[in-house]
Amino acid sequence: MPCCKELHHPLNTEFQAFTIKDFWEEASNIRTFVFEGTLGAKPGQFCMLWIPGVDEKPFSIARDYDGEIWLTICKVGPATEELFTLKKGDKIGLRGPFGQGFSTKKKKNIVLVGGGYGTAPLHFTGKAHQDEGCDVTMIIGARSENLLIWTDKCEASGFRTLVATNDGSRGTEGFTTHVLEKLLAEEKIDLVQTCGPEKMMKALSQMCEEKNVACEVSIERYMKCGFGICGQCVTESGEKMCQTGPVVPGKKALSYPDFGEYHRGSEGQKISW
Amino acid sequence: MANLDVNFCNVKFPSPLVLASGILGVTGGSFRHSVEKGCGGITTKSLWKERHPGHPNPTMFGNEHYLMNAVGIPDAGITKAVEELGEYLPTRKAPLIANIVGGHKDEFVAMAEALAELPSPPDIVELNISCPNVEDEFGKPFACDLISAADLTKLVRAKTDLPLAVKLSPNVDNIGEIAKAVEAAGADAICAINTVGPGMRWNIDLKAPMLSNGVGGVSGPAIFPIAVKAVYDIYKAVNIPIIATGGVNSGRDALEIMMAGGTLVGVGTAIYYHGDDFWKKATDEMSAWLDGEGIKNIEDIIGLFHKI
Repeated sequence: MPCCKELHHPLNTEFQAFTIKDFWEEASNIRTFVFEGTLGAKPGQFCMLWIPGVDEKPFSIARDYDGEIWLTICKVGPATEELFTLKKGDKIGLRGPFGQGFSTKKKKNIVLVGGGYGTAPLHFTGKAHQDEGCDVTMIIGARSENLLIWTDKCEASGFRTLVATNDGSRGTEGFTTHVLEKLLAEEKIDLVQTCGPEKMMKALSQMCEEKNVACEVSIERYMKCGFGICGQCVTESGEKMCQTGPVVPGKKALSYPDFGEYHRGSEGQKISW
Repeated sequence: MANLDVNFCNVKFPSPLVLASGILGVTGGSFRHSVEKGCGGITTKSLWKERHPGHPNPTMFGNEHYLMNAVGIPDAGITKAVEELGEYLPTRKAPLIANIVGGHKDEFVAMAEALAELPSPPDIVELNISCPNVEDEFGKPFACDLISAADLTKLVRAKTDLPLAVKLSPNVDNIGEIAKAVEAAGADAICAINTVGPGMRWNIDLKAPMLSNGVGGVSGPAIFPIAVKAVYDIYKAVNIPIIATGGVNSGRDALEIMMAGGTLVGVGTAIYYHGDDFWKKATDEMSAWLDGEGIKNIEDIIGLFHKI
């Protein structure tokens, strides 16, 4: 923990040092890191993680309570490769939390849909809903059983946990959309919240829109600064996903011409999803 | 209500407040959004001829006094610029200043030519000769050397009829003289200032520089006094108009730097401190002050401090 939080101005976006307290494997190449302290984050918000001398990357926050911050991270490039070599007691930099998180409702029937490592922030979200007296259903999807994450913790927390794998190695064979479609037909759902591949989230948003069910999606864009000035994460509609997002209503996301179609790289170039 | 229209190089701006280069200026969507929020014009981020990767993160941070950045001007190159601006320019609701940069002089010229050939060209071309990443053959930014700055201006001037602004560095002891040389070489306007420094900050717990580049340019409210002095000096030295930029953080700041000599006012870090609502808040503050003073046209205050 920074020792002088009271001297830390709200407009300060300098990094604070945090110590790695623990980590474990969630699946092949996916690891949850535990840092001592708090960022005061709400579910769905993100932070920037800095490995000095290497790089700084945005990550959604998988937990921020009981004096611990959890980040579930997939090894995808040089920065995360370096992160996976760090040991307990090593220090990294964090700044945040940034952006808008998922909303919480009182005593509602909530469905959370996670695709791949997009599942990471949803357990934290489900816990917040539970605190408000909601029923929580978690749909977790992955290509195959060995890539599923957070299923045990969701079950242990009392969420109704439904699984979909593309190859049918566990749960429903197919996509999370198939599972949600069935649920929407069978019961009254008040809110669907999702994080995962953008094409999946687009399909889910369209499904919710047709059924007139509220929906929120967590949009991933290239976050360079995280605080609304670099312009790298701006959608075609001009909205900054680091501040207006990453969580936005599905209806709003569907109005973005780039939603589910493309995002932008570090030099502003378009990249198809 | 005071009239906030400003004529700059024969281009009409609906407000003197323009988005400065490097802030939010990556995509057409972003430009449209800022104009909807009330900014009087857009300056693109610096556009390169070739793809330019920029520095790894962290590339910027801020606190209540200043921001520091060493982004390294990432850009996808001329094809993306032509595509993005080609889509945006025909339907623009406010003027666009295309900021261009190059590793050597030919690249500036190539960019200026490519932009001039667009079916709907930008309103103004701005040469970024003052970024620490843009060096002449002696390893200095062009803007830090009088002859380099003038030579480059002359080369680009010869290849474009678009109004030409040159963005200067405050990290010199003769900004007025450099502005004069650039004016003599054919520039239509000056933009001042780019970031101050470079400066350096370290994280004492991690024992690492806060920016991956080690050093970076300083911007934000802390540099406003330096910007006001530079604009004041340039106004005295030249007859061409100035885009006054550097730490403007309120409508009153904007009025002050206009009275020091700015015709347009570049706004960057104020978006960090106030978000996109800055445009409307600052414009309202300026209007109210002008009305209180009984000034009907904002253009009447340009360079006012030089007349006292």
